[in-house]
Amino acid sequence: MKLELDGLTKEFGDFTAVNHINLTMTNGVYGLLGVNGAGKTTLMRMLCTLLKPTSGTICCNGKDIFSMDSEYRKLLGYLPQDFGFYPEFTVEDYLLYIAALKGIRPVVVKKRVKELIAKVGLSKVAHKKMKKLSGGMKRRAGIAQAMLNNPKILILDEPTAGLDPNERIRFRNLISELSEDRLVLLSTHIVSDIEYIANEIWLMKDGEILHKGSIDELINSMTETVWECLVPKNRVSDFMEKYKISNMKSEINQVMLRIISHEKPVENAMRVEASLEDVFLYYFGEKAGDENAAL
Amino acid sequence: MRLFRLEIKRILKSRRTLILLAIALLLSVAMAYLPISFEGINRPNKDGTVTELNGLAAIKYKQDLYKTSAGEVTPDRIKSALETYQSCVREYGPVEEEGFPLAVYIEKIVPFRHLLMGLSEAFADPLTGIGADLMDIDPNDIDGAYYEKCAEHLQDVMRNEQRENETAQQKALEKYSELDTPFYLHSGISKDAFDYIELYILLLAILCVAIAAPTFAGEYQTGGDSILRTTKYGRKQLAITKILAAFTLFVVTFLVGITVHILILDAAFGTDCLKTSFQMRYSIINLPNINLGQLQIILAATGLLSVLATVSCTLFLSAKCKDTLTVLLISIVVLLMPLFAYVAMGATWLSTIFPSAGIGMQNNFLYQLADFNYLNIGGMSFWTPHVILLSAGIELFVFTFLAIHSYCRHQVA
Repeated sequence: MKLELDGLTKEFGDFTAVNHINLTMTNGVYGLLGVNGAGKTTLMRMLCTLLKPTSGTICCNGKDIFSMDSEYRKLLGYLPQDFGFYPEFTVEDYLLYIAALKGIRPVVVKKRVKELIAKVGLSKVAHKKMKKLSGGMKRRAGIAQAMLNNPKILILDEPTAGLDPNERIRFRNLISELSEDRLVLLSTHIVSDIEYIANEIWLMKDGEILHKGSIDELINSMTETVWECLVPKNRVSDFMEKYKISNMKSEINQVMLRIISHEKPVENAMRVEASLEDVFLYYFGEKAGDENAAL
Repeated sequence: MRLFRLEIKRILKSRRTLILLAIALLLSVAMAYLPISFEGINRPNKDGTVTELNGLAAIKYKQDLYKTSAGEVTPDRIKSALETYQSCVREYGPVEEEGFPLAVYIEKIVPFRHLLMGLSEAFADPLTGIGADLMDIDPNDIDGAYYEKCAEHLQDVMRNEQRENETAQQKALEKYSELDTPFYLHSGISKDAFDYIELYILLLAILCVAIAAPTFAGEYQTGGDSILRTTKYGRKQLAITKILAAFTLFVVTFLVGITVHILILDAAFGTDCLKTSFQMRYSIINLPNINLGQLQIILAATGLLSVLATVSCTLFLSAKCKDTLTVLLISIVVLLMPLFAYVAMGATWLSTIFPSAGIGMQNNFLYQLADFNYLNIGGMSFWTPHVILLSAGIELFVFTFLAIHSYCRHQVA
């Protein structure tokens, strides 16, 4: 399975949501990381044929996905960021309905639905109405519907949004389990969601892919160094104005700061190994002193 | 078929839909009860007292009275009814005055009232169209010339109403000449019963529009559409299935509702009166060549067509708009537009070409059948019931096609 994005652009009036993206994806897990409004959802919607690009093409094994029409959708599983469900349907009814839309043969559909319900851990609530499920359960039902047709391309838009840490870990493990022999694209603005499962990470900002690569490649792409140092509490604001701070931890009368900087911020600062969160901050973060600082 | 079955199941699982369907069925009973409850008559007793009868008791009493006047409307019978009327007036004074004995009125006038009303109309003033005083009509003038007098009156009316359009006048006269005569009369069913069929259809249309409004827009609003349209059959097939399922639901609801409604009416008023010619219940010069039983079927069939055409317009709006409330508001405006247009401007193209043109109050299909409204274009004249039917039929297909097309082209913003 190969997806190729060539000069992909989407404009909404004067606003360019996705700007001339060129990428190639094959089987594996891809993490799309970016702040809110970076253009991740627009990009994913184009990949799901929900939006037509203003210019550029998306090809699946060499064929334009919009021309492929239902042939492409047959290969696709999609979980949108916010998805509506039918409140009065039970989990099983809902999956049977989506299975019919996906063209799954009636002889296998019940078995497939049952298998997936078990896989996402919803067996106990299979006959419960969707409206009675917790947020995490609804997300799991969402991933089950996306998996019904055993898709070759699985696109998950912010799948962990609104989940508690426990549910997030479960969800991450589930995606990791489902990712074999298929192309999985997962968007998020939560670094830990993809840190352990993505083979390749794309950093997206203002509609463009800033960087792409494995975690190590991204860390190596940083031209600044990560430091940790203890500073007096009354000097924290000075540091925040001067440096990008990726973490702060209060201690007695002092604060442990994790700083991204070219220069050693203070004499006692120790150089430490960078993490993906540092990379995220390096590319997307701003200093407190910056104009319109987001962080 | 599996998708269709699941779509029906999905619709029927919605509590909102179930409530609206239950209201539709309850209304069919309530709206049939009302015209029955409106019936009333004073029955003179042998001891000189009067008993006021209402509802079913009044209907039963009237049925017994009307048996004597039931049959073909021949000039001889009309002449005889007129002679009886005139002799009563000569003996007791004008019918509408208090001194006129109730027992005589009930026994000799009431059973023939519809014959006499038609007679007054047939001998109306050619210029003003005002009905003739029954005392001024010479019974000998009726002999053999009653139906010719009716046709002459129609000619006068058409000359007044369609002064500029000879084609319309000609068409109306041609249509009238095709009527089966003599007319048949078996009084007993009230006009209210037919008005309430039309009113019930209006309420059904509102309920169906309310059910149809979220069909596509509801999915856009909740985001559920994003999942549906990324599936193999999530575009054209899904749109067609959703529309077919909605239509199936509305057809079944409409047929059940209208059948219950009409059965209640017919059980109360009896079926004998359904043989009455349209002209004997409305105007003697009306154009439809049907009896009241056929009228019930025609009102139900055209009502269904209009409801489906209106719903197809709502489905198109639902595929086009992003939220259910907008769809609902625009659909209600479209539904009521012919009603307002008719009140404001009378019978015009605007009040007849909307999909809901046959639904409403004065603009409804029944009133158009009982009227002489012709619309003219390029030397051609079209009777408004024909325009309403043709428009609804075309719009049903056009809006359904547009709904499918719009759904397929919709992009998730």
